Order: sequence, then C-alpha cells, then structure tokens
Amino acid sequence: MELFIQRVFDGLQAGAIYAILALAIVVIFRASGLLNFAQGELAMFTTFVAWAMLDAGLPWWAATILSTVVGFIIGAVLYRLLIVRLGGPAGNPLAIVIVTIGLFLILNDGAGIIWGSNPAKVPRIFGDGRVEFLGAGISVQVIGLLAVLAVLVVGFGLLFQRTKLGLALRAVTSNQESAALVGIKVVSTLMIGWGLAAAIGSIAGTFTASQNLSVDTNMMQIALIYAFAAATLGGFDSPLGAVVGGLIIGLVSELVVGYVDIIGPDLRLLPGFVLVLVVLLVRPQGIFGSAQVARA
Amino acid sequence: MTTGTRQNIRGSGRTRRTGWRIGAVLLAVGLVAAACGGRDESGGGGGDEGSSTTAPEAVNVADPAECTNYVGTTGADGATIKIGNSLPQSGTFKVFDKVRVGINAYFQFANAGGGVQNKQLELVSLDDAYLPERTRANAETLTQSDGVFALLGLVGTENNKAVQQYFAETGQCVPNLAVATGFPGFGAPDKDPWIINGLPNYGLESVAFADYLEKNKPQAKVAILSQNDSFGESYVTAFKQAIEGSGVTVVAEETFDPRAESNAQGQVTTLAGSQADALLLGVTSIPCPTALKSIQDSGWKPLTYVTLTCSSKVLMDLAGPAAEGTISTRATYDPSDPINQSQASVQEFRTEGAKYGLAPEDLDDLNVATGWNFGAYLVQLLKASPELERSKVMNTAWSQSGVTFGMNLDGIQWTTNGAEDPFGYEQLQFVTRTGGKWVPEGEIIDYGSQLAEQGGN
Repeated sequence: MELFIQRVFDGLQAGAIYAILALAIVVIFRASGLLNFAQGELAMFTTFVAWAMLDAGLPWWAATILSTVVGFIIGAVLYRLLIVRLGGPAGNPLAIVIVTIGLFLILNDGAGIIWGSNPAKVPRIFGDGRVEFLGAGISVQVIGLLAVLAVLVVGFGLLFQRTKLGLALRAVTSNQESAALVGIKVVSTLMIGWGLAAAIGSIAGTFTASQNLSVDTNMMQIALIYAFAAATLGGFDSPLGAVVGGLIIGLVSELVVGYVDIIGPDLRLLPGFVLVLVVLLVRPQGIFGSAQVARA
Repeated sequence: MTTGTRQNIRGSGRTRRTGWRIGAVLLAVGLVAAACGGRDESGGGGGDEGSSTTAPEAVNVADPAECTNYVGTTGADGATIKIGNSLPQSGTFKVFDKVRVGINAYFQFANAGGGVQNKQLELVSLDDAYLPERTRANAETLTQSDGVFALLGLVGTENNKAVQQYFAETGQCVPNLAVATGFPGFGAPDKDPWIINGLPNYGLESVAFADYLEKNKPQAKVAILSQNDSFGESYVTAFKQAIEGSGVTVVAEETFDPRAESNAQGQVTTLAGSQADALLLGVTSIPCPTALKSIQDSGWKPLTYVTLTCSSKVLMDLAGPAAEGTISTRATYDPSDPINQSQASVQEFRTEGAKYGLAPEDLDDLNVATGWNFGAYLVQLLKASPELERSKVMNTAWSQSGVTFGMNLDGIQWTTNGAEDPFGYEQLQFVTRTGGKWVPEGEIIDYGSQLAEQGGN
C-alpha cells in the first residue's frame, strides 16, 4: 500500500509538470490556433532568468514571481514583434510553426551562451521537508507543486469564464473578424494570450529545475514531449483537459512501469502514448476537447 | 515504443537535443577524465614528464603487416610531431572543448622544455559537435589532409567507435591514444591494438565497489540503478562478474533511460521497496544527484556508490547534503579541490598551465585537467617509445609498467601488458563524502589484471 501511494505521488509529481506545460500550450492554441514548439525552451529561458535573480541575492519566491513576469513580457513581445509581422497566426500558420521551431534552437543556444552549459544550482521551492501519508513519505515539494497546479486551474477557469479579458480571448479564438467588429483589440488580446502562456510555462520551468536541483539548457525537452501528449489526450482547446491529461499521463506511466513487469523503464514512454492513441481513436478531439463541426 | 524506434529518434536532430543526457554521460566521461589526471613524479618540468620502467616491445600486438595502408612515420618525420584531435567545439556538448584547451596547454609546456626528441608538438583539433559521423570525417581529414602522426583525447564512446570503423575500412593503422571514455570495449589489443583508453575503465569502479562490499559488508544485499546504455551496462556487467562466488547478492535492479526520463524518481521508489542495504548508482550527470535526493526523500539509507563521473564538484554540489555518506573512487587529483592544492603535480598544472595560456577558470575545470593529463600521457609515451614510429608507439603503449604522469594520484602506476592487462588505470582510492568533501579512505587499492576479462566487452 505504501508503495502504491508512493508511486501515485511520483506519478502526480511528473504529471503536474506536464500539466502546467500543457496548459501553456493550450492557452496559445486557444488564442491563436497554433502549437508553439518553443514553449519548453521559453520556460527554460525564464527559469535561467529566475536563477540569475536568485544568484543576485533575491529570495526564491521573489525570483520566481519576477521571472514569471519576465516570461509574460517575452511572450507578449515575441507575439507583437515576430508573429504579427509574419502575418499573424491566421495569415501564415505554417511559417509561424516553423518559426517556433527556430525559436527553440535560438533560445537553447542563447541560454547556453549567456549562462553556460554547466547546470546551475537551484534550491527546492518548498524546501526539503516530507510528510507521512498512509505510511508513505511524501515530499513537501510535491504537495506544493500540486497546490500551485490547483491554483492555476481555478485561476484560468475564472479568467476564461468570468472576466472580460477571458471573454475577449475566447471571442478572438472563435472568430477574429467578428471579435474585431465588436470592438475587441485582436492584437493586444493575442499578445496577452501569448504572454500568459509564457508566464505559465515559466512556472513549469521553475518546478522542473527545482526537481532537477538545477537549471540547464536541455531540461524542458522531455517534459515538452509529454506535455504535447497531455494536451492531445485532454483536447487541445481545453485547459482543464490539459491538466487532467498531464496528470493521467504521469500516473499511467508511473503505475504501469511500476506494476507491469514486461514494461520496464526502457518502455516508459509506451503506456502514456498508447493511452493517447486509444483515446484519439475513440474521441479524436481528446477527452475534453470540442469536436470540429463543419456545416454541410 | 520499441528500442529500435527510440534509436531512430535518437538519430534525429531534434531529439539529439532531447536526449542530451546521453551527452551527459559523455560529459561525465569528461569529468572523469578530469578526475583522472596525470602527475609528474619525476618532478622534472619543461615537459620532462613521467618516470617509467617501461619495457618496450615486451608485447607485440600492433603489427603493421595487418594494415593494408600502413605508413609508420607520417606526421613525425619533420620538425614537428603532428597530433590530431576531434571533439565537440560547438553545440550542446561544447563543455568538452575544454579537453582541447588542456591538451594544448600541456603541449606548449612540453615544447618549452624541448618537446620530444627535439621535435615540437603540434595539435590539430577539429569540431565534431559530438556527432559520430563528423568525428569519422574529421579522422579522414586529419589523416589524409593534415597528415597527423596519431590521435589523442577523442571524446565519446560512439565517436571513437566511428573512427575505429573508418580506420578498419580503409586499412589504416593510426594510433588513437587516450580516448576520453572508460568504455571497456576499447581495452582489446588482441582485436584492435590501435586504440587505448585514457580514462579509468568504468568496470574498474564496479570491481572496486564489489571488493569493498566483500570486505566491509560480506552479506550485502545490493540494489542497482543504471543507465540503459553502454555506460550503465559497463558497470552492471562488471559488478555482477565481480561478486560471483561471494556472499554479496543483487536483490533489485532498475534501469534509467536518459532519453525518455528526466529523473529516476520512480526507480528509486521501487528500489527503496527492496530495502537493500547497498546501492550501485550507475548513472551520471543531473539524474545522479536527483536520484540521491529522491533516496533521501524516501527515507531509505543504503550504502551508495556513485560513479566517478558523478562525483565531480558540479554534480555533488547539486546533491548537497543528500550525498553525505556516499562512497566513490579516485584515480587523479581534482585541481579545484582545496585539499589537493599542496600536491606537486597540481601546483605544476596551476603555475605552468597559467603560464601557457590557461585562464583562471580553466585551472578549476576538470575537463581542462583531463586534457592536461592526456598531454602528459602522450609525452611520456612518445619519450618511452624506441622510435617515433606508429606500431612502436602502440606496442609501447601496451607494455608500460608503473608509469606516473600528469595529475594521477600519488601511488597510481599506469600499467599495461597487451591483452592480459589492457587497462592502464588499475588502482583506485576510495573516498567518502563527509562534510561536503571527498575524504580519502584507506590506501590506494590495486585491482591488478582482474580487469583483463572485461576487455572488448
């Protein structure tokens, strides 16, 4: 039983990171109908920013908050200066996807040039403590991570459903032209969308670094693959789906590898992706995604 | 996903980055390298490195008759001795470029002291970005266009395999000396006498840990966590061989895939369930300190052996208190460790290195130290060889006895004897992590030729 509880928390720990990063992917997708392949590297980059502030003597919580703000600014500026000039998501979608891949490389090498390729030490945000839960030892870090995830889910739910900004974001996603006609500033709204995504991503980056004890230029790449799977599983246009998808993939990977002997760690990627495949065969739009309906 | 698919992915550009942790292994290698340095016991400066009781031609494993394109003195018949090198000077694994910096500094130091047989050493180093196919192309350029005499300090197991294959296909016999990997497969002079390891064989550490357990915990129940690549397998294979017939048993085993996982949390949970009383941690780079942290979280307290590559300052600093009480081994002095500053070889590295172009940060860099040691190895080898001829150099390399060079620990004697004893490093010093430092424990232990059977594995 202890082992089971321990594995559940291991799964949730991994899954929560996928969930947060998937949330960032989904926010961009909702705002502009695109996948941002540089999402993970943006998160890595802002985590380095957080580390630099930490190194300069700021307390960890302040560095985290400030780097989230920096993430927001980078995301918004990228959208305004790059994506809009390339014709915007609607005008030139494929080119922009390729540009995000280019950004991936630029950010990865750029961070290496600025901060070096040796890992930089990062403490655990919530400390080294652990609590006993049904006989298993759960680290405070995991509990803190899950709490942050919960806050993000509730916060984004409220933002999208209960605020004018959320309404504007949804309107722009649904139909840019109509949104513009009713007075929504499309470019500004999308800028905010991209900024929010990068800000959320930076939280995923911070927690990954905290788990790895360090920030290094390649730390988000494995998480990004899982995050895409999580978004696919939950539905690309559903924030709740992204979070549930991330947690499910984390749990399934951990439990199947732990309990099914023939699927050892060598096949760790398998269970999650088989699940994604099965779900997509039954529900192509993902668990929480909305189906594409075309007029006959 | 099948293994085959994963390898395909690994070959693609994108996941080359995703799977940088493979490179981490390599990095680790580099760090090891760093850890294993050479030292000058003779005390002679100016490149007069190494005291040796070498008996040249004691073995005759490198036979020019087996090479269809053999030229014995290319690169060494003029006023200089040209030495080739290939390593990542760009990209994710750029940290290893520091090995080149170290070799270069040593060459200048040696040249100032008269070089080798009054010939100056010249290094030609090319960038391979850690891509084996580029290392292969570099080997071609170095031998065909630049006309180097030998290769030195090439980084990476797969990269060196690619060079080995290129030489085999073209029938060239060019010494590939002190390769920057501890892969046991290169210790097989009966199969390929033209390549020799420059780092301690990974299996040596397993032999040492097994020996340690047999002496200190004869009934130890051991858990193993290893990377599922040639690095991890080298440790596991050697460890299992070494405990055969003893009371030490392996009770739980997990592998870790550095390409698909960023930490080994799940594996630690499973292994902790076994309640084994010792752990062989055959992983490196960041997953190593994070595994130590997970072990601490779990409340499990096994006697843990961390690989030499993981025992580097950078990674141990990440682990912090979670590394307390772990054990590891050493073959060389780490010049950044305050404990070693009084060693003559370390002082020589710091003063002479600084004189010949090393920046202050280079003097604390393990990869630079590794390059320095490779340089020292090469110079003593060329001096010990009866003449500057490729097969003679190689046969000398396979028959050295009790050689000291670079920043090797006092008491470490580099010894080889053909296929019977193919690994130069055969002694290690145990160290225990105490108060945030590695403290030596007991004497340097000699594992002799127990390692020969690992050659070529």
